Amino acid sequence: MTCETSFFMLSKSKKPEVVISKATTPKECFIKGIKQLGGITDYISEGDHVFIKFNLNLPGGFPVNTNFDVLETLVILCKEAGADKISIGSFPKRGIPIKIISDLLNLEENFKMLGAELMFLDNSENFENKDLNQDNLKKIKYESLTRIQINENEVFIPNIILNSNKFISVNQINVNPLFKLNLSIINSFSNIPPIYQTIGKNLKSDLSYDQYKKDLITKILDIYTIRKPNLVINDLFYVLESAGPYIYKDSNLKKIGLMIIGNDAVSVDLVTLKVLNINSDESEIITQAKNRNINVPELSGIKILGEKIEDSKNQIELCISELEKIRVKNFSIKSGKYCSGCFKQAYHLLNFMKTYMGKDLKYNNNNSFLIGKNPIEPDKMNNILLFGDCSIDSTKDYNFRNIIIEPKKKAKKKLKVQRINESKIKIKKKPNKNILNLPGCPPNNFACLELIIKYYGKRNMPNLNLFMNLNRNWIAGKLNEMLKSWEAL
Amino acid sequence: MINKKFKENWLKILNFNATREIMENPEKVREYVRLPLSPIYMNANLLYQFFNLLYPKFINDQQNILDIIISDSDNKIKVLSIYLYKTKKAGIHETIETLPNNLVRIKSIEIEELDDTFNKIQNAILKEKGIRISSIRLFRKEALDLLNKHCEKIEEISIYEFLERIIDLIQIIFNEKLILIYPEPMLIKFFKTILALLNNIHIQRLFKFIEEILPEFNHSLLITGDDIKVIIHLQKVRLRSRKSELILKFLTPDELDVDLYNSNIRDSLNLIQKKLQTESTYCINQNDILSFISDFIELSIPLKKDNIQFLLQKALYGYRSFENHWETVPRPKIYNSFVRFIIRLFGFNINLKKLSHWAIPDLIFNYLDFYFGLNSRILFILTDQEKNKTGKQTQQILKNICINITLLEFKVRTLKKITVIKKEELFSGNYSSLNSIKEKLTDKYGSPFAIIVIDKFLLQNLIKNFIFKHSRLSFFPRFKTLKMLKNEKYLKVYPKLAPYKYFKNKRTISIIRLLLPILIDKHEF
Repeated sequence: MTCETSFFMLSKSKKPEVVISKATTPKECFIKGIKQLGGITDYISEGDHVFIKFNLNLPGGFPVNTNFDVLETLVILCKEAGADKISIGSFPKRGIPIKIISDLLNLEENFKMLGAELMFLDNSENFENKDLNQDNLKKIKYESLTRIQINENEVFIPNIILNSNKFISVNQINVNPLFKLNLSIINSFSNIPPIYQTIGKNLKSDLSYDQYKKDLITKILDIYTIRKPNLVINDLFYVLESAGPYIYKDSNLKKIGLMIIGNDAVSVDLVTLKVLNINSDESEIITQAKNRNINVPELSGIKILGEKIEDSKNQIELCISELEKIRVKNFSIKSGKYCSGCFKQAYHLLNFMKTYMGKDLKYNNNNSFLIGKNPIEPDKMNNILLFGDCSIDSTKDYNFRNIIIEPKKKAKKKLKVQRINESKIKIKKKPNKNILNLPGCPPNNFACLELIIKYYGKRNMPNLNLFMNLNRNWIAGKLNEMLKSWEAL
Repeated sequence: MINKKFKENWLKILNFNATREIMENPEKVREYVRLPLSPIYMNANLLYQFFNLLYPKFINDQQNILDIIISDSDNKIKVLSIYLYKTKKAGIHETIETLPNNLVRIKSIEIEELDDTFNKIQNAILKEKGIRISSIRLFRKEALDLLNKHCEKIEEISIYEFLERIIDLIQIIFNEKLILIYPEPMLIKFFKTILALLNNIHIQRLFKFIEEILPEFNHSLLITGDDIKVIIHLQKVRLRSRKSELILKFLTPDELDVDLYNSNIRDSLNLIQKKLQTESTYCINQNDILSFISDFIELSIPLKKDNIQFLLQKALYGYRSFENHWETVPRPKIYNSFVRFIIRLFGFNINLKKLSHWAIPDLIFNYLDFYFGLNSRILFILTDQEKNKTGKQTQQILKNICINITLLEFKVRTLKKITVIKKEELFSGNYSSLNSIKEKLTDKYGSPFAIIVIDKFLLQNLIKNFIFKHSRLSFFPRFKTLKMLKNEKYLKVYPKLAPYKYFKNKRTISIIRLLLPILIDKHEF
């Protein structure tokens, strides 16, 4: 089964159907929404193989990943509808094998208990097998993925997503620094391995064009069109606002009490934006989708069931749009022109520092964080962090690169010195060693953290040292190395 | 109507309060009364000072109080008696006057809206007696019956028995709304909300458990301030019958011949320690205690993590302020600079005066948020390995040694619900693993994100070595306790979250080295 089923469902009802469901608990809200949409049997038939795509980002708690209460309820409903096999899966953040998250959160066993199967889309269930050599790994990898050529890009997508009879997307709505919200179209991006999600180095000199974001949107929409979900659930019962989509110091979990469920991802996302008072024209994903052949209906063209949009409107606080607004203790942020790639990574790095490195920041004062092309010259010279290739390359002639050493004046010679012509004084310059380059286009944050701890030293970074130690088994363990080999194949 | 002995003692208190003003030196008076509703005898002047200090702060800071005793059989409210306390100072009950029952009439609906009832009663008293009351305390007859029952043989019971009884009494009274106070004091609001949060938990059992896990101790505490100077002697002793007993005494410095005015505080503390034969004697200012209690009872319930974080910060700040906000004798060796220097030579910087009161709560709550999420259900299973006669650690053993199961439900960084779950609900049928527990809970309570199995013995050791012996130079028992954290017999976290996995596989010494720089501030200035 491919896209035909979803096309058939849309053409049957003509207008895409979206329900706004409201209840007191996420579970009730979801069940109510499905009922209002006609019941789960409208979507799942007896003997179906169902694939559920959820948010699996990091080995942490809600709302970084999908609400497991909702996921469990969905699995139970699918079983009741007679689904033959229920598979659940997603690709996590780059560099983290699914096996690690599953082990830390006990996902495999939990889903098994419900009668569903967690899919190790990255084949990481085999990584601990000592007999596994590169050839075997390659064979396993390409047996589980299908190569698809879209425009000039080649992507690999798990066979299970393409071959399942029904494809359901359960998406937790959180704020997103690039796209305002984590919409379900964006959720579909993690249908493919993270290595194929990366955007190549920005080769255009004009950063105002923001090639990174344009390429990213194109890629997201490409992936979305490969396999559109039959049923889309945007869970905004609780929304992480202010700082997200991960839990940071400035994050706030807001209870909205709604779920938006429908048979067309674009329509569900449009209604979600409307409910959260965001103009769909401000969403670049939607605007780009309109420019392509993706069907973006008008709101009037969507059959809205359940609650009325007007009665469901809610205001949430979105992510900051300027990095300078993230107030990180003892850090002064100087921005030049940067693209969305660097913005996104710097946003996460700065928020991480603010949240988990409180003591480290207090111990190391007067730091400057330079980002983008031609940033402003830093006024604090203690430590200068250059984030991204643009800032490293464009500041080569900056004053901060050198330290001026004034000749020592002895008190007795003061009078004589005054008489000496100023031009005769030799000003010595030596290279400033207090500069930390965080290279990359955009830089990888885990790599940045390793560089930061190396530069400042463990003694001056007790918080970061603890974080790196605690999390080394999911950031940089043996399985992570295996994943790198898997990606490189 | 009220217990005879209670009445006698109460009248004695009123009598002392009424004559205290004309006493030449009330602090020297050796007149003893019983703390109302308790078997504890104390100096009448001390009780006066307690009332004078605590009543206005936590209950009512205005004068004149009216007690009304009512019965509401057949949905009709009948006023049984009315007592008026004219108080010159807020909280200091001096005289009691019985007023005619027909002075006040209350309808059953008015009980729910005490606002109007209070105004009506206030006007009636003003008209009749010419004084304005500031508070009414409504006692239902059932409350009186319970109080009378509580007072039976109160002088003969032990402190533990008394504490168990009074906790039970408070829970029943507030759950069944047997005593109503208007305006409702902050303290009562706090009790009510705490009881609501604790849901179906029998607090008496909780208290019993706390009693069991506390080690034997013998400490005294001197509280000083402008309003009160009191020495509290608190001791837990184990009796031959293997039962334990608590000794609680309230003493005035004068009773111990301690002159706080003419000697330095350290000498006074040494004297108290010597006279009471305690392990150590602490000294703390009344205002610091009051400020902490105020912050505690002002905690908004349901408990927000931010508020708990703030309170923890405050408590740690208080702890690090040794010789500034509190004192203790004998002076712990851990504060000795030379000892610290020697320890530092081994690579450990332990300076409790530099305890990072701001970084520790931050660290704890940030990691809790990340790993458990902002919404989560966490199941705590409390075990008692002493009941494990086989010594084996199979899953089936858990069923036999489990003594309590509690489910904590967090929503939006707030502890919303605490539910005690019956053992039968979890371990019935085909119980095989912690995962099957999760499965059983899911239908009724929702799936728990994590299950934490913790043993009583570990808790006992943590409390003993890290709280009661907080500033001792005894490293070995602490290492041993930390090692226990890695033993699944005493602590098991399911699923094995990253920090648990890390600590379990790491050497204790490495963990200490990793954590100490965060727990203790670097700079010695």
